[in-house]
Amino acid sequence: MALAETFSRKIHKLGIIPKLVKFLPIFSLLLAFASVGWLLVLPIEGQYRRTYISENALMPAQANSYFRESEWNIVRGYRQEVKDFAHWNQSARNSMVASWLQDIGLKTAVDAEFGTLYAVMNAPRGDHTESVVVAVPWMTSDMQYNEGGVALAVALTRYFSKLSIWSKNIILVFPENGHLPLRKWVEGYHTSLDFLTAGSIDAAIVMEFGGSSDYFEFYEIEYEGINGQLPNLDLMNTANLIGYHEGLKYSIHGTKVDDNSYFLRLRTLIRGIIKLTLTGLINPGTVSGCESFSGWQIQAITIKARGTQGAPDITQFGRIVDSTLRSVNNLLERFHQSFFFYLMLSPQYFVSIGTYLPSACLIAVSFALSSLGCVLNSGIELDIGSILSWFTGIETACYVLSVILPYAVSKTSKASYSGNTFSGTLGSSSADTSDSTTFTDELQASTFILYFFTLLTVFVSVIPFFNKTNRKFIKLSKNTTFSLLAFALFYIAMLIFALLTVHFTLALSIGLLALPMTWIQPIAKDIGQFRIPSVGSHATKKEDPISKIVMFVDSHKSTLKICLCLFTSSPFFIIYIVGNYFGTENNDGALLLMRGLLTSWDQLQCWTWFVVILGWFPAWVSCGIVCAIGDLEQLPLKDEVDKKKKNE
Amino acid sequence: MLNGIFVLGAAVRLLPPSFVPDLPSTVSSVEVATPFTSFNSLQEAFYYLQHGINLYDGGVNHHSPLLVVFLNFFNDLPYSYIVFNVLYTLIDLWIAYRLIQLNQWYFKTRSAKVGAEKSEKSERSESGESKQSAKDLTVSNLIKSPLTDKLIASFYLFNPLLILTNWSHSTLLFTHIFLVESIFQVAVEHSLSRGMLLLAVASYLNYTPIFMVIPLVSLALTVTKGDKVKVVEGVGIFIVSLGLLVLASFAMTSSWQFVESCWITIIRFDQISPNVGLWWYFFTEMFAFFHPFFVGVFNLYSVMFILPITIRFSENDSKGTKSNYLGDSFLACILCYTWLIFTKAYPTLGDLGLVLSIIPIFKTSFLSYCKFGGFTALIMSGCLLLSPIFYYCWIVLGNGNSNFFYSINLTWGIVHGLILMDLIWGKLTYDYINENGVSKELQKKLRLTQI
Repeated sequence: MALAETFSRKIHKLGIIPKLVKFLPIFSLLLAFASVGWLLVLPIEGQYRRTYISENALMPAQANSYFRESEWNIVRGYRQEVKDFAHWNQSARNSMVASWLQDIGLKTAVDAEFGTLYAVMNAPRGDHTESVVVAVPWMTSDMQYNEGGVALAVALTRYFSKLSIWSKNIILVFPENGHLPLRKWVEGYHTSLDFLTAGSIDAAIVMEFGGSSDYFEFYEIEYEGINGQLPNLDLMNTANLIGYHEGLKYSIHGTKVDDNSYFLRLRTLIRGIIKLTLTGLINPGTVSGCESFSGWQIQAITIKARGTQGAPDITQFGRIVDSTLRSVNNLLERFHQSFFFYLMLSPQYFVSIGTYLPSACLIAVSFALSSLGCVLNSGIELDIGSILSWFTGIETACYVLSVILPYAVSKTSKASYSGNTFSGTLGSSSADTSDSTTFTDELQASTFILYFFTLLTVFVSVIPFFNKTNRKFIKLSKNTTFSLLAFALFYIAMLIFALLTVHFTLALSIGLLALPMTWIQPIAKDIGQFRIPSVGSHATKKEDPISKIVMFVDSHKSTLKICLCLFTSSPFFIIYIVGNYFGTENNDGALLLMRGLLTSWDQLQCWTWFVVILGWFPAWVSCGIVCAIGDLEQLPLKDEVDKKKKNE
Repeated sequence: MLNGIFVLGAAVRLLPPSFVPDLPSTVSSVEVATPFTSFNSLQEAFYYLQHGINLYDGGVNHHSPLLVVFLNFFNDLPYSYIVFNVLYTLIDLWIAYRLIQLNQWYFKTRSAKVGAEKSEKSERSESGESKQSAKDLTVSNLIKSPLTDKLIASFYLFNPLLILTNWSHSTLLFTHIFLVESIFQVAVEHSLSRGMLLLAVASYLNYTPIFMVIPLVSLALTVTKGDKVKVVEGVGIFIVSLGLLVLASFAMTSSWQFVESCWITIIRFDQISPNVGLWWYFFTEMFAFFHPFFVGVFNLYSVMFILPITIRFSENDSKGTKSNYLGDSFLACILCYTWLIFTKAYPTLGDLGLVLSIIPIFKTSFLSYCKFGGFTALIMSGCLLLSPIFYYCWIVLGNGNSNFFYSINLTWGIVHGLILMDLIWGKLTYDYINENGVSKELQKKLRLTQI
């Protein structure tokens, strides 16, 4: 304690703290840079770790898989059949597959809501309390008919039924696609599907092998869940280790196992962060299916076959699934070893939570510091009363919006629909057209909402130009202005802090995207100081429009900067930009993202919408109000006054 | 205005659970309700009682038999859930009212003390002590105007931790009302016997307040300026009334099982369940072999500091060496209670909530010398934010584990520590300034160090 005491006395004596306070905005900015810098450091060699199997019981690739080329004929046979009924409707296809599975000896049932077929193979050795899921969507995420996947699933089941080693039940699921039908099946399995169950689900593998090729080039693994959830790293490593022993190539986010350079690792990292943030929100046609299992303590990955020309054959793909299931079958406890929080850098390299967490921590501290700077540097007294009344008002309004907007979207679309089949159902029937109109309706409502709020953003961002200092009508006092601004920044800091572990990438994204909010107070420092532009005196004589604009810009420089800050940190503007960047060829990415945000709670229990509208948006609105009707002129700090006096 | 605050406070407590009857069980998370205070297990006990089953069979119920029987009357009434809402609301209003009176009493006794001291000093200064005049100046600054009744009521009635506790219908509230009422009786009404009787009821309901006997007797001695016989009298009344309550319970249940279920379980920590306290994780991780030893240590630890705190802050100084206004027996009570809930086996958020609502009373004296208020508030809000999230990660999502939740419990413990430290440090600074007559200008430069 003595050292700390001496230290604190020294600091007090030298008066360091008041000097540091002036530099708070710079510290805040530096921390934000440090946060990005931290992310950039992660892919440097020595900062990340190689993946390993943590749970000894898994023993991946230890048992020899007998699903060899001898089974190829059976796979081919089933695939020919599957190909033949490509244009049948769902129930016909399902009843066909169900009859095959029943022949093998499985119990089958259909989830009434989406007509999803599922079957249970009871374990010969188990006590029927645990199970593993193999999900085979009829439609892959690349909008292909999942011929190979379905055929492989049935052939694998036939092969599984001959083995006596299973101690966990195996559930086969055949949803129309990996999105809503699968999600609703998972939900139903844990709530309403009582007639055929097989105990708690430990792990799930979604299989995608589109097309009728016998060969593939490599396989890709997708693992991101909704709400920032990830499967246990052991499951993914198991599948990958098995693939390695099979001599297969595999990839994550387009980075193959052999690709190993700094920029490729960085690319994987960034793609992973974006993917995890947007899972459940973006284009429903390209979802991988594993995120449907989120929230039920199920470890799920999607394995996709890529390419049609290559050395590996379809039975090898089957062996990966087989061996992975056998590894999971070995487990005595649920997945608990290894990591639940990680970021992948390549299929073989990862960083765990302890290594990457400081990145978002830094940005949270950055917001907290600039909030502190708002209070200390503007020379005000914190006005808690007005903060409470203003912010409660804003938050209440946002809460109403958060409930009403999704409700409006679901109301405009038809009440009874059998799921979002944007990716299209196989076999065109009249039922499908109603699905697509539902989707279109949702999209139209979202379009309206998105454009309305984007315009509002523009409108609010422009108002500061009309915020004259001498205006008396509707004007916040200086105390209220900066207290509210400080609280908005503090609120974002707390939001990031709360999301830190549970949804790291969302916390980080919001932190980085809302960063311009922290610059408002330092920029506003210049507003009060009226400057006569030096060029302006010449320009006014000429009065040509360009120099007029130049003069205007010059004299309103800081107001313009504030407008830009407001504009770029608005959630709806970001939705617009991000959506369009990741959009489809139809340039409707922003609309799809907006639709995803508005419908994802009802359909998938993804709460990103609430984080945006109840966390980010109120803070932004507060900043907007502050800039629009606040008194942004700042009192000079005490030591500055002293300096001026000295100079005089 | 004060009436308005009471009406609003009542509405906040009464309306939500009346319109949403599920609210009590919804908000009864591990942070708010423990097996010893949970309303759910109380309802289970009602069922047992009505069907003639032994109250403590099955190990679900840990409520005292008299409490179960008493509340069962309300449970039998029509619209019983509304009746319970009204009952719990009334209790909170009553506590708020008592806190207002305690606040007024505290201000009065403090200023009376300073007045007495002042006259004493001026007498002395006449007899030739030159430095005294400077001291008098500071003495007149000793007492600041107290918080208004409205604010004290608001601090209690709109404390979110207490609102949550009330909504959860935690039986902790009964302990609170008896505890606050006993402090009130001792301090304001100068009635040691009534105070001890009420404290006996509080201890009977929840075990922990049993140790409050020590600071409360000390407070009684201060208030009544009584002799040491009072100590014997107070402790005697406490023991007799507690004994009567136990005997009545025995007569009612015709077995001693309730002692085991209500008290011994707490002492031995038999019901290991997660809460905001420091015990559960410790005993989950520990080999059973070590349990008895550490149970002893933990229990000893929670008792150990009661006597020292009471003595240090006692105002009864028989030798008369200390100045009269040093010491603060009421503060000693609050510090002891904070220590008890810090080291309690089954604490909830409501425990700290009560302490936080009492602290503003000290604004009259030393509260402005406390320095970590903002810091503590920040840590506390962080805890309250992350605790449900980490519990959700652990129990629902399965991607976190108990370490996550316990890390927040540890931080919650730090909050207790900070509050204790801050109050004690503030009081000691205040005493130092008064004892040495530090002028206002010097106070700003004053930097005290603990040696």
